Amino acid sequence: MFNPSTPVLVVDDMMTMRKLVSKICKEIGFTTISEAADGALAWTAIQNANPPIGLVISDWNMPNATGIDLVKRIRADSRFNGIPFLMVTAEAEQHQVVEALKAGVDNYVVKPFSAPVLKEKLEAIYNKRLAK
Amino acid sequence: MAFDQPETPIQLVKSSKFCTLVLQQNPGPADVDQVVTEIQKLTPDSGPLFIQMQHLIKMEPATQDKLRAVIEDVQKRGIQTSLILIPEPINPILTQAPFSGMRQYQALRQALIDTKIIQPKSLDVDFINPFIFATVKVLKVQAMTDAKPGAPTLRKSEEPLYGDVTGIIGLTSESFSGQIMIQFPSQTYLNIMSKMLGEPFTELTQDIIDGAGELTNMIFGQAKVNLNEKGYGIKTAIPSVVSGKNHNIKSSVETTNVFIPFSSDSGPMAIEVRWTP
Repeated sequence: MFNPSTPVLVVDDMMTMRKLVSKICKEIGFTTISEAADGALAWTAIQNANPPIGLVISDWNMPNATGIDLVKRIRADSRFNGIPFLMVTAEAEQHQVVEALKAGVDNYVVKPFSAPVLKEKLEAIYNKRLAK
Repeated sequence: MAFDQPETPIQLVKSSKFCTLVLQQNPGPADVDQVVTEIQKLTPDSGPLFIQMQHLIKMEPATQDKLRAVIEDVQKRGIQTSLILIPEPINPILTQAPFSGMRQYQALRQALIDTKIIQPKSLDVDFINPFIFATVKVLKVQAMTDAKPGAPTLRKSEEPLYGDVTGIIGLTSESFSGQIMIQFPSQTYLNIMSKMLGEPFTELTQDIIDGAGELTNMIFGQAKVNLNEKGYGIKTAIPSVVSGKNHNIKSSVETTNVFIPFSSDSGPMAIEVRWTP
């Protein structure tokens, strides 16, 4: 599993969802959690973060830049394209899951979700991308 | 009901309450002749005759004349006739099972409602149930709240919305538009947010008010999957929140409003689905 000190960026335009995802991240054990209210603000945060962001958990539908816009920007930039990206969204249709995976997300959680489900998805990402 | 695509250009499909004359593949006069005898046997007791065809179907004048004579004869004998048009050219794959059945079912069902053979209630239940199931699931998973739906009722648009906080999201498809709303009294909403976010909330603040929109968004997302599998074609939309005592949301067009109250261990609440065809 991810190191608890991994800097996590939670991206959602809904304040309650940021609170909820951050709360679950804390329950899972993460200690460094920051938040952004849309994809554009998240992109700025990623560029300025020190220490660098080690995990992005993002909503899909947001103003200014969507979660899909954000993951595409991250994947297109050699400085950040290795950041694991989990999409958390109410968009549950199969074609949307495919679109997100094609854009470069590592895994996908459909709202509503429980803490164990989020943890399971994060473990899957870690095992796939980062486990040595 | 028989929904299999007929293999001949024109075919009479009978059921216990109505008959459907299915035209396809550009029928000729001889094709009409083949069904005339069967059509002549129809009586008002056979129920209405639906004539189903693609609106770009081609027919020679001789075929049109024969068909017109047959249908006029049916009408003279007091048999109700209705046209079911399939609006665009059919992709060949849609004329084969399983797609042929789905396409004909949707067109036929509306005709059955219009001719009062079935009540629109069955359509409403089909449309409303996914929202009820989604509400129960979302509240259970995301807010640890057990909710139980009560009896749906129709509601007038002038009536104030139920409760103090309403999450709302647009329902848009090619054939209708409307909204899904989730409505909470303030204490119910505070209880739900306290459970969802794991800290006690005692007043409605900006920090938590958008949660109603997010819950609506989740209910919409879950129901959308189910409804789009049935062909409703509902598009993605962004939620918003309205709050205050006796608040209401007015629409510029007349809508059908179905109100479903819920009881729950966080308190009472309701969902309301509004739509205009």
